[in-house]
Order: sequence, then C-alpha cells, then structure tokens
Amino acid sequence: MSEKQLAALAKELGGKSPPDLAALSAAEIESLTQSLRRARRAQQEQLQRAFESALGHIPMLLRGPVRKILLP
Amino acid sequence: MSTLAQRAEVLKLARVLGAPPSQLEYLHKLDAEVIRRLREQASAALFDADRKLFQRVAATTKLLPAPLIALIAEKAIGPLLCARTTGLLPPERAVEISRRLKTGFLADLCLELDPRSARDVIAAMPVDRVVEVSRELARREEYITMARFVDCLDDHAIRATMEDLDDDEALLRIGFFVEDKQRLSDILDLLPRERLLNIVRVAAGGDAELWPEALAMINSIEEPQRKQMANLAAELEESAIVRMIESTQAQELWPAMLPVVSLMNGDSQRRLINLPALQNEAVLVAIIQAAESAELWHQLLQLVSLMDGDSQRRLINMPALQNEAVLTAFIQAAHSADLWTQLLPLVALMDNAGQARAARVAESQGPKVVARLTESLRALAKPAAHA
Repeated sequence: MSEKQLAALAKELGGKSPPDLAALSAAEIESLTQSLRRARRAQQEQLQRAFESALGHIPMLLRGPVRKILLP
Repeated sequence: MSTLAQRAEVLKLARVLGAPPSQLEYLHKLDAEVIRRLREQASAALFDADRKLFQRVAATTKLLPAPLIALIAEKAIGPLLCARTTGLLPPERAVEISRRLKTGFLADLCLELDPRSARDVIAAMPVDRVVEVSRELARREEYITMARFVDCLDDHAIRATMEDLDDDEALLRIGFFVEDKQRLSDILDLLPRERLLNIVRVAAGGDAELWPEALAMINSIEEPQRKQMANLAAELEESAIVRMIESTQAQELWPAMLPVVSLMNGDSQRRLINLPALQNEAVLVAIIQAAESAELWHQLLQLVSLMDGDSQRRLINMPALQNEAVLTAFIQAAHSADLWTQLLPLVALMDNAGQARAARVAESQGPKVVARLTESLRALAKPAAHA
C-alpha cells in the first residue's frame, strides 16, 4: 500500500481519509479509486442525459422556468 | 471465507458505485465494518459531487404536478438519480409523487436508496405502499435491501409487512442483514410465538448455510429475545433438533451453539443433552473442544450435570476429559461460578486414576480452591450422613 494511492482515494472520497485499508495492495486501492471515479463520471453523465430528457416531457409553457432551474 | 456481513457490505458498495460485485472481490479481505464506512464515504462523496444538481432536481418538483413528476421520474430521471434526490424532498411531496410511481420502479429506487438519507420520507410513506414495495422486493429476493429499511420503518409498517410476507425463510434471511441488533430484537417481539417457532424450525432444518447465520443472529440479539429463541429451538420436534445437532456438528458450530443451549431453561437443556444424537462420542468430543476454544466451561459443566448417570460416566471417563488442562479448566469454572455441587458428583464417577488426577489438579490451584472444595464435599456428604 502506498501513500500516493491512498491520497488519490482520499481525494476521490471528497478529501476524507478512508478507513484502515492496510489489508489492500496498492493496485487494489488504485482499482477502488478508479471505480469511484467511474461512478462519479457516470452520475454526471446520467444527470445531464436526465435533464435533457426530462425537458422533453414538460409542457412548453413550463419548459422555460424548469430549464432555468435545471440548467441555469 | 468471507462472512455474510462482508458479502452484504460489498454488494451495497457495488450498488453505490454502479459496479458489478465481482469487480470488488478484493474487498472481502476487509472487515464488514471497514467496508461499511467506505460505502458511507463513497455515498456521501457521490452525493456531494453533484449536490447542487440534485438540489435543482428537487426544486423543480415544486413547479410541476405530481403525476407529471412521476412520469418524468420513470421515463427520464431513473431510479438511481431519484434515489439520490429523495432525501431532499419534503416528505409529504415525496409521498404524493410515490403514489403515482409504479411499484416496480419504487422497488428499483429502494435498491439505490440509502434509507438513512431519506428517513423522514420513508417514515411518512403510507403502510399499504410500504407493504406493496416490500412484496415486490421479497419477490426479487432483495433481502439485503429490505433489511436496510428496517431501521427507518415504524412498528406498524414492519408488522404489516411481516404479516403480508408469509415466507418464514425470507423473514429469517432479512433478519441476518439487519444492522441494528437492538431494532432486530424489538421486531422479534412483534412476531407471534408460532411464527418465531417456525423461523427457528426453518433455520435448523433448511439449507445448510442458514444454520450458521441463524446462530450468529441469535447470539447477536438482546438477551431476552436470545433466551426466547433458544427455548423455542428446544421446543422443536425431535427430528428438527436432530437436524440442528447434525448441522452444528457438521459445520463445527458448537462454540456458537453452546451459549444458545446454556440460555435454555433447565427442562429444555435436560431434554436436549439426553437425546441419543448428543450421546455420540464424536459430538461430545466436539462439544468439549468448543468449551475449550471458546472458554465455555461453566456452560458445559451445567449441561453435563443434567445428563443421566450412564451418559455422565461415559463422558467423564472419555480420554478428551482426562488431560490435565481440561480438568484444570473444569475445576476453575466450578470455583469461579460456584458449581462444585455440579462438578463433584461427576468426579465421583471417574475411575480411581481419574479421581487422583482431579485431586492433584485441585490442589495445584491453591488453598482457596482446596478450602472451597472441602467445604462442598462436606455439604454433599451431610444428607448422606443423615440418611
């Protein structure tokens, strides 16, 4: 386990120190960090797609105000 | 081998990360508690990363009518993003929207939801809706998810759900995953006696994997409920108890089973300890080894004292009980828990060499032990002298 991998994981966890991961190898911590990064990217993509798609279901009259809230 | 708690935590973290659990296999090296903390941190980090966007989604729900929000939720937003937004909605509004959502969608949402982030919404959910969604989750065998909601639902909703769920094995499997053992103990109090008895029957006689988990669960709950479950186990028909003993023996579970047996009332213990299935030498040796490994000598001594005479004589003269370390442990247990009146009649059943060895061991424990032993011998001899 290396400090570098732990620091990258902590950054992905929003700056919080992870719990005791001494049992994991550096490669495993790196893999966990990658999983978190992928999850964050997937969430952002899903949100963007959801916003675009949601607007399509909203009546024209309300689309403007909703767009202002969702995509200011 | 990873425990059920570890497997459950890895699955929950995999759900948070949207990754297949097989991708996180390496996490089984960590304690369940460490994986749980990791999951909480990951969940919070993902929420915080897009907190503003989730807040915007929540804000738009004020502008739109509930049926339209439900339509958009199902067609555009999806269960994962809905789950992350749920806790930001006023509970009444969330309930209003949930009435318009399909049960299957709500079940999908529950798989993604951290119930503690939406405690107020869950508490406000009408009981009939809770029951419908629980039924769907049970149909999908999503017991880990169901257990997560136990902490956030009140007794009324829990009772209604348990009444609707007529599968006792499902109920048992949900129980394995409830994190708050105090809450689990409270819930057991809500179940009628017959149902609890059947749950124990299912645990003892169902799949081999059920019994170790059931034993771990029984050992984790509060003492009054633990005692109740132990006595219910003793009430089962003999064939079920024999299966329970066989499972315990085959899976080397006596260290977990002995504390449960020790909580049974005297009559139940007497019935159990004198069953032919427990007279098997291999079983008795396993029980002695369990007493040794888990330091359960008091419990064993009490049980042995309830055996009939012939069984006691056979047990006490078994080679496994003849070594000095075991005799020392028995004598120390008798001394510390004042169980001399249970131990001494057993020593009397030993052959001469065994009795001499026991006397030597007692003497080596110091004058206090010898004094108490002598006192107990006198007390035991008194009634005989009067007779």
